[in-house]
Amino acid sequence: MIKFKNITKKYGQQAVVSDISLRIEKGDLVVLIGPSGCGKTTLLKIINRLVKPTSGDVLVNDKSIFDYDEIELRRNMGYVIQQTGLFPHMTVRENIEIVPRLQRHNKKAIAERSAELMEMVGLEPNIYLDRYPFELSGGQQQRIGVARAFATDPEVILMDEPFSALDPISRLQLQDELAELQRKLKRTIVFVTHDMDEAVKIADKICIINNGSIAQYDTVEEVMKNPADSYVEGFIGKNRIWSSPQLIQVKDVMINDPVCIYDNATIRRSIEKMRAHKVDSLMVIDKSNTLLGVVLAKDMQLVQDKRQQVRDVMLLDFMTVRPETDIVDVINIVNNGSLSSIPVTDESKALKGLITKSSLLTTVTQQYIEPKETVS
Amino acid sequence: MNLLEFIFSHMDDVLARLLQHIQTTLFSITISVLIGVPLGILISYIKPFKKPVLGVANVVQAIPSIALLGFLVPFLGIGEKPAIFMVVIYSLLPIIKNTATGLSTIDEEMLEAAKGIGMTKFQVLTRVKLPLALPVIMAGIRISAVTSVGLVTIAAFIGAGGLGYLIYSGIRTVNTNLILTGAIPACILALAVDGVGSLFEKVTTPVCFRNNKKERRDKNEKINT
Repeated sequence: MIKFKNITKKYGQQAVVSDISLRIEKGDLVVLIGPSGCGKTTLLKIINRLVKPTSGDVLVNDKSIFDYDEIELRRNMGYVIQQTGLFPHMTVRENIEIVPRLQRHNKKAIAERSAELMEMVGLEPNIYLDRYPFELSGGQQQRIGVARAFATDPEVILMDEPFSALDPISRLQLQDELAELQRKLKRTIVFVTHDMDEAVKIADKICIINNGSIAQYDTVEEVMKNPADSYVEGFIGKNRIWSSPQLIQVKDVMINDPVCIYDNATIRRSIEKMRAHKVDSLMVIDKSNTLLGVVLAKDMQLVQDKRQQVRDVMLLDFMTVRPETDIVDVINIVNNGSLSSIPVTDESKALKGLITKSSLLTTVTQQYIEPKETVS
Repeated sequence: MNLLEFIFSHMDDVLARLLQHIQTTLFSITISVLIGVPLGILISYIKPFKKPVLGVANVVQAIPSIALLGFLVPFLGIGEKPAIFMVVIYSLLPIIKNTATGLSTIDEEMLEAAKGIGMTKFQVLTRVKLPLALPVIMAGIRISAVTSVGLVTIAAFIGAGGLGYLIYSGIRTVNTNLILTGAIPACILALAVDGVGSLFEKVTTPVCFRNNKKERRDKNEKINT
């Protein structure tokens, strides 16, 4: 856990970081993002004491970074920078092993760890360990950079625009791999970037920085759905959410008050209700709002005895989705299923809402329709 | 008597002088390195020292060598001592300058990374900066070594011996053969020192700065495919 307490950094009179307080939970990947010169890199370097703050404190695991031995603090934090920071005169092995060797760890253990790290970043140890950085591609070099950061198995890893200098293909690959790695290892990672797509892809939480202050600090979903101010909105870009539709959940687009009917109502009553609300299906629920089934208009028409209760004729075999399901999955379900609408239920089967083809269509097409100017 | 016959008849003497010449040169250069490299490191870390140190080294370089020798005799007497002193003083500048330059032209971001991953200042110096600056430092030492061979020759003037002694004797007795007997080996020695220096430079150059980068890459490509 990393906690910034009123951190300010001034160069002369110019405040690069002003009074930032921030709490990064253990195991979270937090992206510090903002335009160049906004102070994000400075903020990162304050954590491993490469930059000394003018005032304020940073706690790592509830202990001030200034109470740690500087060298120890850094050795327990991985550090990856944009230009890889690899030592050109050392082989890949020497680069990865430099800190463990300085700590005089067991040689055999170090060698085993190196092979392990190479596997972890997807490079064949036998081929690459004894090469020099200049013999590797940019993407491979940065993989080594990442491997080196993990060498001492640190709990905290700091990454300063690690993928910015790579070609787009390597960049995407490395982003995917980092996300995958983080899913497995659950380290506390502080990641600096200016690339919103990158942030959305890998972050648990995003901290948008503007002129040395936090503009918004929240989960990716929240930042996208509810930008704190026009700056954040401008920064993340309009309709940004459509570049990652998996962030849109059922609860964001569902109809909250679907037309329902109790299970003991008659078929006649249900037909009337459908007519009144101009719908072709009803959700059948009991008194405690638990979804029991669905009745369709076309089935009701065929029933001779209109006095029968809906519970006897309702459909029992249908798909439901959870409020947290993402919209991509829902579209798949709608495509494959026979129903034109899908009930939304929580884990106790209580009815929460309804997704219909038309509500999906509205959501999906929203991005193409210019929002009307609203007068307030 | 022709030159070759003359040289061969004095072979023992020539070899003894040559050996002494080499000894004096090596000894002086070792001392210069021991003083110059640490000074170079010092001024690369403590910027305010840079100007005065390089300034003094520059001024010393400007004094004519004969004048400096004359100046030293009253204090150090004649013989090897003032000779070594002079050679050291003259060879310091290239060593200090190249050490400082070599150390300060290393990529700042990489050095910050070294610091960031938890290396101490001393470890950054010994494991990153010095190995990377070594070729530049070696180039400085090579220049100094070659100049030293010439300077030791002049030092014979105050009784330091070496090949210069043969040359002075030849000049005094107007014996061309004797002059050449000293001068030719001195020239060869200077070239040889330069050759050895260049060899050292090659050996100390980290793989990443060598010219065979492309060859290595091609070789790797073959392994890959």
